[in-house]
Amino acid sequence: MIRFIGKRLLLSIPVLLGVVFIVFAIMSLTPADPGSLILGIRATPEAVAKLNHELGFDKPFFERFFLYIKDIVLHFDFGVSYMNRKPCLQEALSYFPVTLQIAALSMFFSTVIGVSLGVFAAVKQYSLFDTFFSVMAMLFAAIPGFWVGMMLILIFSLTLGLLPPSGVASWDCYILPTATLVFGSSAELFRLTRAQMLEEIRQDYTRTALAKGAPNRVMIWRHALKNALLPVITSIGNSFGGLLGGAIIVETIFGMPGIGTYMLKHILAKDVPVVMTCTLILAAMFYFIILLVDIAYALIDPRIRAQYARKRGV
Amino acid sequence: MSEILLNVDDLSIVYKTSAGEVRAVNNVSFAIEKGKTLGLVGETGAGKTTTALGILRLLPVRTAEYRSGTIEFEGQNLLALSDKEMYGIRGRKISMVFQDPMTALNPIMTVNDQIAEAIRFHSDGTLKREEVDKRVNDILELVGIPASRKKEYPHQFSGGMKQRIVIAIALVCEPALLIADEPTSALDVTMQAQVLAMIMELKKKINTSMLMISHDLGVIARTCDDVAVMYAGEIIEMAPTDMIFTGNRHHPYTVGLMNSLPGVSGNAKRLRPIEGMMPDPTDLPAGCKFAPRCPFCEERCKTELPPCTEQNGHLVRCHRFA
Repeated sequence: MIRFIGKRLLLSIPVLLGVVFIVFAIMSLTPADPGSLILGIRATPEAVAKLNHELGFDKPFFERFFLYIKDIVLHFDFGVSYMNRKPCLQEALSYFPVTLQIAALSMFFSTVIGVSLGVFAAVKQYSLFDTFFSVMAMLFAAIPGFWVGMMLILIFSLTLGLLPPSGVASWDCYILPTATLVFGSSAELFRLTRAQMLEEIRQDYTRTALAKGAPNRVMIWRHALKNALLPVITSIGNSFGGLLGGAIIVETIFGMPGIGTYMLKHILAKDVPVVMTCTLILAAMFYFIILLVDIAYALIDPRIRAQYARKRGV
Repeated sequence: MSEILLNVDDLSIVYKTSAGEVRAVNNVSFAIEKGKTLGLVGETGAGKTTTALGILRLLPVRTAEYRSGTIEFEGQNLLALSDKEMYGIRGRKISMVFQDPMTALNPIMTVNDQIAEAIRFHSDGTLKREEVDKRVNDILELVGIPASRKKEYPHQFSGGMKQRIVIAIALVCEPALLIADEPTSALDVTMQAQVLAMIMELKKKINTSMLMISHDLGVIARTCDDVAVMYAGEIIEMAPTDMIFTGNRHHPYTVGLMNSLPGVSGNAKRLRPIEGMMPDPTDLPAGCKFAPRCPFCEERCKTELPPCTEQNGHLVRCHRFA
């Protein structure tokens, strides 16, 4: 197991290198050079060319890429922002907590809500409860997050005046953004959990459990749910990636200083180092979450654990 | 006449489906005496498993419905018990061994936990860990699995061993009645004999009664004291085992079953299968259910339900013997 984790951590290096390369290449294709971005439109071509030379922008693509990677690896230097000349990494990390809080909170609540309602709906299949929540889930999976966000502001902030519509001044600022994300992702988890549970409840081993004298709730929560959770955990991991991305929209709507708004501002300004840094942080986060999913898999399912063990030394 | 453990009387079970009502079990009555084994034979879809699950009340709640009858076990009607009272019966008083050992075990629980669970459900929580451990070890030894392997998972065992584990789970609380639903039909032939011999030995050891469900007359002949032949949800013949396999007073379906068995001795002959198919359970014939396939079918067979007639404990539901 430890070998497996170590192997996966090592494997993250080529993955993240690939991510950096792709983003770097895309950013290089955009028709903008840092010299004119920094100095503005009124700068003389000579001054722009001089600055570009200082920044190394006149070097060939692969050389620039290599230098960029070298700076990261040797000095942990992610470059400075074209816009405000501040080191990218420190600045990006200062925006990160807000995003992480929204993503973690909404992941927690959508898991609790989605999974538990999914289990109940599956157990009471065809009941009013099941039908109601299935329809609701379909609805919320289909409605785009930004619309939900705006409606929540309209209802809870502007009409009822209960919650602040924007900012991060107090804890209740997080309620609406979290709720916005929870609607969509809990709907997804609900649908998946329900479908998985319906399948597991019909498996033979649940009947064996009942024949042993297991009360219904033990059969459902101890036997069926644990088996149903595997794909659900994958989905939770994936949705965390979605939530990080979705945070960009939510932060914009609710005016929160998170990595989403920060990144968006710098994307629009073609601030390459900042975009690169943010992308890299998000990619690393996502990779880490997926690793956690795989570990959770092995903890739950002995067959997968056995597979990891067999692949020893590979 | 010894004491009757299980008395099923006039049991009817239907499944409500979109295609109509499936009449899976129709007015079935039988009794099992203490320590005895009753065999339930019949082809696929005859209602054997539904009867078995019906006794344990493990039928799908939404679709299955008890239409009539009582299931009396140790003097109490199981159909009148609450869910909670049923939890105490299942696994403790009546256990079941399922047909397919490959899917009957929870894939992500150790063998030890799956057996220990059965013990814990039926102790009031005072049982010490060591006692549970000991009982798990004992039952594993009885079914021929080394106790050292109990921390392993089902996928690490072969089919035959899995079935031994399923049997261990069923017998660990020493139930008064064991329902074995085709316990060997998913195993290969060499395994079948071993597992069957083991079931019979354990049955004797803990003195449990048994309901043996099978479509294999060989298995039935070897294990059962009495045999009930099921066809289209009805018991059409019931007798002590030796009487089923001998004599001339038989239901035409039973005769058909015997004829479709390959003989071991004598000249190799072509098997004579029963022509036709079992009737559609959503639309059963009004008279004898077997009439459309019966070589002796008369007019009254098509309209009148034949009565059950008894002769020396040999029941046959056929107009020919009425």
